Amino acid sequence: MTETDSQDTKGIVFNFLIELGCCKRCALRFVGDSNTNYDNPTDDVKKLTRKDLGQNSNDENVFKKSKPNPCIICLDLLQDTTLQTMILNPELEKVLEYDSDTFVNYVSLPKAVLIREHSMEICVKEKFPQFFKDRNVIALNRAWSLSIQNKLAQRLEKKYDKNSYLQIQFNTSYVLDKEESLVMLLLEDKSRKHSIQHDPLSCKNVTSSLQTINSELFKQKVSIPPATPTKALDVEQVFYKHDHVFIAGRYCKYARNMFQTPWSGDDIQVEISSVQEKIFDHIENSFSCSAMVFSSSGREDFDVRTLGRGRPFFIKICDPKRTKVSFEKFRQIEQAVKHTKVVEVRDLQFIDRRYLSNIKEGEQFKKKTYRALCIVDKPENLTAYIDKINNISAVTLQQKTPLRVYHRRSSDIRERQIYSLKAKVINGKKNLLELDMITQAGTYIKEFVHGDLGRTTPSLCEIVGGYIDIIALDVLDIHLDFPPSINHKVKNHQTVNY
Amino acid sequence: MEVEKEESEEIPSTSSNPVEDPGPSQARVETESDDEDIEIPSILDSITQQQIDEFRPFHERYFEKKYCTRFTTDTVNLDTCVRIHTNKISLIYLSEKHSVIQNQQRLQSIDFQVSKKVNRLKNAMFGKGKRGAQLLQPDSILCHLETVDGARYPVHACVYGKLLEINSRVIKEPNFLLDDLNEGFLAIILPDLRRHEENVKSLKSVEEYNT
Repeated sequence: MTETDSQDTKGIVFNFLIELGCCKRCALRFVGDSNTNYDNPTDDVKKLTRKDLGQNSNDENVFKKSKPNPCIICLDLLQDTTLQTMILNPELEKVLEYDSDTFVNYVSLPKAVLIREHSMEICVKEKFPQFFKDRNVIALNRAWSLSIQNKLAQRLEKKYDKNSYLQIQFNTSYVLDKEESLVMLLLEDKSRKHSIQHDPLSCKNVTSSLQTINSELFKQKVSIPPATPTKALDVEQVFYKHDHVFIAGRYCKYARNMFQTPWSGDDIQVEISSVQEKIFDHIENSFSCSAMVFSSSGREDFDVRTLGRGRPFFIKICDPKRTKVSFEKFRQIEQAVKHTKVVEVRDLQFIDRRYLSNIKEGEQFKKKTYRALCIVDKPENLTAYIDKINNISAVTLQQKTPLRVYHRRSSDIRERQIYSLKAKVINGKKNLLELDMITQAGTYIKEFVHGDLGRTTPSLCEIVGGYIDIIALDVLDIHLDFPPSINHKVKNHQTVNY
Repeated sequence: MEVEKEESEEIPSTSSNPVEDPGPSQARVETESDDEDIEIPSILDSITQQQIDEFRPFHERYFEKKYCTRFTTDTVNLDTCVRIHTNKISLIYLSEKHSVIQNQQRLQSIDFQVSKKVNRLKNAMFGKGKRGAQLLQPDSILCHLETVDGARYPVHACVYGKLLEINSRVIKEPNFLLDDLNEGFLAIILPDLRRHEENVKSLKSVEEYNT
């Protein structure tokens, strides 16, 4: 086939479709190529009609003829008036509040349109088998997207990007949708397993049924080409949403009466807020988000402080309107949290979601450094106890589920390691000692010291041969280099690097 | 004595199973603090002298002590002590007024086979809900104490709940039950929360018990 032949056939197919009652963009989908301009198809249409008919007057007739009824495939989805209705949707005003430079748009199609599309494909393939042998028809939603992208971009003052985090979804409906798609029940593949939620008329199932359906069977039940519709589809709501973004950092907790996340006990009222609330207070405004979810590498008891470089955490920020948060802004948030005096945050930064598993894995495998203030039963034995502690380098523990958490944890004996122990006197205190330990994640430190009524062995009580207990406990370090530490002296240009 | 023995056992066991070298991680902590100069606030300053002075040992801090006297008869004292943790987990001990302790008897053994079918040591459970654990009522028998004199005393559960654990040290060394009234508990019970109030009401407070 020569170039002209091909162009001629295109014209023939195009006019065949127009005469059946397709809109110009639907007709173009069957003959067009990657250069087809769906945004403004006038030139492409002219080329096809002029070549084939050679008369401008017929041109007009073609469109007049197709006007009274909606497009037999897309039910007018691709018509200029429908596109215009979508662009003028007042809800889109709110999308302007997002600071994203890009957007991506989607449309939901009535099932009737999917069935009509399938019918038309069968029709043209039978009529022009040679022409459609190696030709892919441009999908309807793709053509819709190409048709509306530029107009949307102008309206939203953003660029189209198929990978954009800002998603805009247009929903459509069609009053005769149920009526027209009921035929799928007759065509359904009976051999398929039906789950309880299986709805043969869901959009997804209609799409997949159409992919595998027997053409002969389909032709018996569905009009080929599609019947002329009396109604067009309607444009319904528009939904928009920015994907979650994640920020990570490390937090310190300086209070001994503070939970990590809000406490929801029945009878206990905790006056002071949680670490999470203290951090959220200063983040919410910066992102104008709908919700935030806090996660961290483990958690400390409410009477334990977390010091040093702190505990790694991340926050899922849902539907943020603002994501252009600068290096300086993060530093400002850190400063603001610091003013609470009880919580401090460092290394706050955007983080790609694929690194989040680092924090959760750290929860299980990383070592922790603790400092405990311990009280002993007999002041006269203090130095002997300290010597005994410093004489052992490491301990392997067998910990039965501590009584403290037995009501909510399964019954088990867990083996844990204390990698190092170092005790020292505190000036002027005869019954106190300071104990530094490096332990395996998941070790119950308080139980290691007092022994939990002999249920953690060996305990420090056993080791010193007396009674020793923790008065105060601090986490000095969680041995996880995550997220990367931020050098405050060098300005880091990682503003929208999530 | 006993403690020292355990300690000396511990040392060879750790050296024969060398644990991961703690050196590098410790070194890293130090370099971190060098890098950023993070100040660690004093732990002593984080608490008050009053907190130190009023500090009570673990077994007093979290537990409420109650007594169960309902199984005692005119001739034999079968009182038990129930220590209830703030999370309602309950530990069953012998009372210091129990006949075996009062009469300074010694135990030959403890029989946990309380009926043909039920052995308190065969108590498998799984999950956070401890499914499969033996269910107990106040009059359920946990075990029979058998003294060297050949006497036999039942010990009752005293509360509604699930049996979580029998003290492994008491299984190994029965007389630990008599000799250590802090660590020598007999059983740990997860109370049935719907009947917890009933559980607590049926027990006597320390004041009631001692008057």
